[in-house]
Amino acid sequence: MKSFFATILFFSMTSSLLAASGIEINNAYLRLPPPGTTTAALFFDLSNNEKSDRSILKVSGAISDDFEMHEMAMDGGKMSMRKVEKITLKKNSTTSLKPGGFHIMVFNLKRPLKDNEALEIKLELDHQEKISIKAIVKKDL
Amino acid sequence: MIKTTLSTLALMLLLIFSYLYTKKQSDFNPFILPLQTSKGMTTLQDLKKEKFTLMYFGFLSCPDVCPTTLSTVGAVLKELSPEEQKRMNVLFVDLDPERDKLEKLKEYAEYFNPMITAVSIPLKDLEPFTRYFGIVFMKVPLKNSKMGYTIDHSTGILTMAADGKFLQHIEHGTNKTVMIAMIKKMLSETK
Repeated sequence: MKSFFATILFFSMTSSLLAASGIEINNAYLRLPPPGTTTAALFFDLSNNEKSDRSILKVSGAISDDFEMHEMAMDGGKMSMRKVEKITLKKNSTTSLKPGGFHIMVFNLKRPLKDNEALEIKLELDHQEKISIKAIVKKDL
Repeated sequence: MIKTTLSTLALMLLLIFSYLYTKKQSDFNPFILPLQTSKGMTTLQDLKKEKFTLMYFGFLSCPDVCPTTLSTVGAVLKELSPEEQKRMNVLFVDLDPERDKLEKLKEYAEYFNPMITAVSIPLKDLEPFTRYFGIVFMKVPLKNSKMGYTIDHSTGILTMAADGKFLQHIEHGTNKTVMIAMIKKMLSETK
């Protein structure tokens, strides 16, 4: 129970630290890739509390050399996915990277991942801002 | 005069070729096409015998839609009675045969549920096969991406009775509870 509160405290502290820059990241998770594939998708919610639009320019982490930003769209029952060069975060709003929309693709994972594992992910934003986040590996459903 | 004869001849040839071409297309029978599957070589005709078929089309590097749908399907299958399960023929048809190998497809499909059979069809047969079932897929190059290319594709689940008759289409995003109800209903109606 004690460790549970410690975790809560840790995460709330992390959140408030991140909020200092005006950018807040929550609910970061990476979907555990099924066997047979070394490609994973990373999702999170990004709140931009600043007075101007911001953007994510690059994502990186130790688990792969190949992070890319992608956008998925559905059109008349057909799914399409495209690579994007940046993800714009509108001022005073929250942008959700989620299934069916923007997401981070992680290719060629260097090692198999475990359910519930925490991964350190680095985001590079405009104005040369760098943010580190923890993403939890989650198994489906 | 010669010009007219030549153009008439060209037109005739064109008609003959287009006839042959469409004839060849309509001759394609997806049910007798030899299929390489995670459960061995077979045909759709044999797989669907006395069964209710559920078919989903996707590919291994699909990050989002395919695992979401397959994970729902996998969970739905667990909720069926043993009798119902026995009547199910669940196929995951690969749309990226250039990149995806059968052993990987098998691992992938069985992770969601061992009842799911992975099917690998060579590209030349995959086109008429998917066309028959009204599934579209398109190889799209991705600039500056490690992925090289992606596959845009239809995301619905196709259902079919043992006689090959198409049943209700299950749309992408259908939740588990709704999918269970739809499948149970179709199973009871096709007995």
